[in-house]
Amino acid sequence: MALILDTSDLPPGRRAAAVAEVIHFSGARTRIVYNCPDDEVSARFEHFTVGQAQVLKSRKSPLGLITTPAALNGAQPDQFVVSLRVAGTATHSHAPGRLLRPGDLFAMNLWRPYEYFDDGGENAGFHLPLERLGLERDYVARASEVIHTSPLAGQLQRHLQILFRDADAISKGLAAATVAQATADLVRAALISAVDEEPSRDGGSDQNLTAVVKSYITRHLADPDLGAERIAQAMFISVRQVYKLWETEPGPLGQWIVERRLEAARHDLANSRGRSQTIASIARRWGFADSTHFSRRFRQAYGMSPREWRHTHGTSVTTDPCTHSR
Amino acid sequence: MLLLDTSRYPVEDRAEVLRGGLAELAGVDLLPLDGDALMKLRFRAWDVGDGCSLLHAQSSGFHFARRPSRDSCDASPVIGFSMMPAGGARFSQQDRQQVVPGGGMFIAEMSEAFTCRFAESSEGINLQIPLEVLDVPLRDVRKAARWLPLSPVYPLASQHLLSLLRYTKEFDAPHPSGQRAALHVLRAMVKSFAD
Repeated sequence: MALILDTSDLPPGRRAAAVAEVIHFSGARTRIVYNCPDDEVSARFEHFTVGQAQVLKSRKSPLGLITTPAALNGAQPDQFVVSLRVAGTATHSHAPGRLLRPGDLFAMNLWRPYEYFDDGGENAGFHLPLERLGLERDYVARASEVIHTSPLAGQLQRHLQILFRDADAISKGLAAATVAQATADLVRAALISAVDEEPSRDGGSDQNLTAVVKSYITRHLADPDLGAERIAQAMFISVRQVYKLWETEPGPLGQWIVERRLEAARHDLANSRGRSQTIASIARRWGFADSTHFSRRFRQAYGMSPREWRHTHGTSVTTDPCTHSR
Repeated sequence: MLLLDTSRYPVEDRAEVLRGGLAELAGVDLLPLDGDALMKLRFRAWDVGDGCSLLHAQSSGFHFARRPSRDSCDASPVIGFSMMPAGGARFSQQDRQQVVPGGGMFIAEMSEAFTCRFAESSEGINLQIPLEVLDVPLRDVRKAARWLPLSPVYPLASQHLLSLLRYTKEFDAPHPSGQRAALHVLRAMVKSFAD
């Protein structure tokens, strides 16, 4: 557990600024409205890492948070938060028409504008990347507003109550990643069951998740440890589930990763920035620790060595009419 | 679905009905207990997919065992995660003997010999999961079985088994996503004992 802020350690005059600093540091582009005199502002924020997800618990004096489209300006990370109101009452524009009371479940989409007001009290939230849900933004936005009506809301609510209560012990244990996986799956199921529509027209949840896995791989090709285990950790699913998802793909997972890496390396070998770098460093950049292995795989894939590819490409560049005209 | 309800039978037939029902439905033998003739048992079970099944029993108390002779019939281990929403149980398997209080949990290797005694007015939930679906080493399951309440995930796992039951009361079947979440949480509980 990391205690991010406890204003009881600060002089009253500095508390409001410290709260604002923590909220802004967390990436929230929001305006803070304190509903009490500055010298009565108080807050305590605790943070826990549970696998690849985060749990944030807060207890504070009354405040409001106002996030406008202009403040977001497209820069807000795609974070999804499922929360429980722990103490006191609150309202949130992503939970329209509800007065949130202790124990109530609600969801927040940090990429959307919102207004939040409370009378002080406590919240606890489970933060995860939107991409982990494998659902469209608009779909998540609609489902978030009615998540409390899901037939799974009760199970999710009780799950979160215990997770938040035991977050310290769970986050320190070997089971943290699997608990995060269970939580993410339950959240996803609650969202889908809260709205009476399929998440996508042309595919089921597995296809969505496969697309998410592919997107993750593409963005992490440089990670030399990229494989089923790393993907499983990041996606909150088991290694077994990764392989099961991949069963519908034409080739093995490892081969797909190598092909994407080779393609990225081939592109680098050819471009102007890459041509000033050694073949070994390009191989390393794309997750090949051993350049001999890289050369062998490259030849298997493209019928020539990386050096020959670079040479061939270099020739083609020099024969470019624009180059000749100089 | 409801598989057995002894209250539908005459008192003098109940012990026999129960004996036959338990052997057929749960693969266990009824052991003698005082007041067998008055015994009441309501037993429900659901196939929840992936080779898993959920069982729920409400009883006036009964004593049952799985005999070693049945072991050879089972191809792969099946792990039973049990929770007692009401009443307690005494459970014994290999060299492990446990007194499980109301609200407590225990783990049974369903393919191995064991004895279990449900207290009067007790209620038990049992989620049976093939080891290959649980996807954890058997040695971790055995370690977890011995030290279960020490897992930080124990309260969460217990709550999930209760949630599955609550859902069956409303819809007469566990929700597939709820069941999957329960499976993950039970796996997490076992993993918390991994070396």
